[in-house]
Amino acid sequence: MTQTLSNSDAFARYRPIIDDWEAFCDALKRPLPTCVWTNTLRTTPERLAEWMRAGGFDPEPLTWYPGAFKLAHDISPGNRLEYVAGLYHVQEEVSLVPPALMHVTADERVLDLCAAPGNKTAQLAVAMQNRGTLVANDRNVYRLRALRRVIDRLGVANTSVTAYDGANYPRESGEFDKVLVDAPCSCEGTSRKNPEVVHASSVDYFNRLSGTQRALLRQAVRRCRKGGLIVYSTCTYAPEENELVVDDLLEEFGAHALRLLPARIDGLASSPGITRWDGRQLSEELTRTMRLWPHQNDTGGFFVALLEKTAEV
Amino acid sequence: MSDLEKDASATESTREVLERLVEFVDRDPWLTLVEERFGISKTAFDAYFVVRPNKRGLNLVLRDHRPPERPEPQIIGMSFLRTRMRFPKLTTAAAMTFGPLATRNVVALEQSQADQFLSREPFELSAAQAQMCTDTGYVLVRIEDVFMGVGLYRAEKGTVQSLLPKAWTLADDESAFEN
Repeated sequence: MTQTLSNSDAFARYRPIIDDWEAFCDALKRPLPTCVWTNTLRTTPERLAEWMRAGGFDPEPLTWYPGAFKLAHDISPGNRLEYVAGLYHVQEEVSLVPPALMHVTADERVLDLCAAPGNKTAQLAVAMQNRGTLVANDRNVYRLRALRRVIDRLGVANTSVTAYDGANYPRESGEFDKVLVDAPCSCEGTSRKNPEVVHASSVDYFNRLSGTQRALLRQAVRRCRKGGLIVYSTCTYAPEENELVVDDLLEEFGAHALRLLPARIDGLASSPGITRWDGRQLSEELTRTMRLWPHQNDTGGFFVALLEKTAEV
Repeated sequence: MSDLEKDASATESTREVLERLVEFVDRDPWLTLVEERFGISKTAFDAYFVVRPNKRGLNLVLRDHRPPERPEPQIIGMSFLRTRMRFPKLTTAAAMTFGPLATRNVVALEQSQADQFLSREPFELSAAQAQMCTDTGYVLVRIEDVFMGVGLYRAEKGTVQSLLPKAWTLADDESAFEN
């Protein structure tokens, strides 16, 4: 398995910040479980479980996310009639976390700044009970096609879709109660599904991406109303794309305008964000961010920061 | 309450912004078509504006939805009716959502028919199934309690042509990781 060796080699720089390096390496060698969540606009988790059992699946409910199920890794849930009928959506467990931290409601105005291919958009729309206003944006018109398919299939009606550079998202879009920045990143955390990501990993690449990530998060803060929430997430391990980005923005906006809230989910193991990297000391507040390592919950890897905007900027 | 009164109950700004972005249509003739064919009451659409985003068809937009003025949205709300055909057709998304409210021209499929519908092949109806259809035209198909979309029923042949869009037939597994 040269591939898994190269995984471990590629991620060796993170050894000092991983609580259990052996478990981490072992997890990367295992196939990723499949996860689906119930489209409660159409059906109930109980009814969906019946359908799946009748189809020979063995759905195991997730403890921390109502209506979501883990399935064996070797089944194809994307070509079944229940899928076509929009009774469920397929989404990796760990990527359910950022929308889950947003606690969106039916009367809010929410922006998903980097929305394609639309999994988290759909999750937010359903959590809003298909009411209120969700704006799903992505700069890539082509990738918005996938998003459109997702929202069509699930019966999402509360969403407007825009195709714009999120880093320059205009003031005329109006104020949002909550903004999700699921930023484009080096995707190291997806290596169990996409082994090729390790070949792209380099500090140069991280630094190039982090410029875009800072610009996206900066714009998200600007578009958010005072008292609103911003969630910043990536599916990568590199601190250059995670804690360092958030630390820079905290400094830029100042403690009076932007603060981190604790990002934790009951029933989901995680590690606090780091406060030191590559000789740089970060704000102690960064421990409030969330690192999800693959071995902790048998998932991919993720980073999530939950921010509150406390003053006009 | 008339449509006009209902529209007035939406906040002025919501309606004004929407009017700058999409064309509002006289909803009644369209809703009448849907009601006559499927028995879906017009009141089922009370929560929505009916708008025309493009030549192809109509969308449903929630009355309290507040899209951005800039950037101008590519899509607002949910696709509802395809109007650029000889007979306007409910979209698959709308059929799945509003199907449970229909009282006629609904066909409950057997497993073999369901497979044919999903692979966009025509199939024959049993006499009992045909009894649920009034005459030649669109039908909503369901499998147990799940609505799958729209078919075209031909009364003289007793067949249904699947109108499931090609893109919907078999999706690849969606990945949460296609960043």
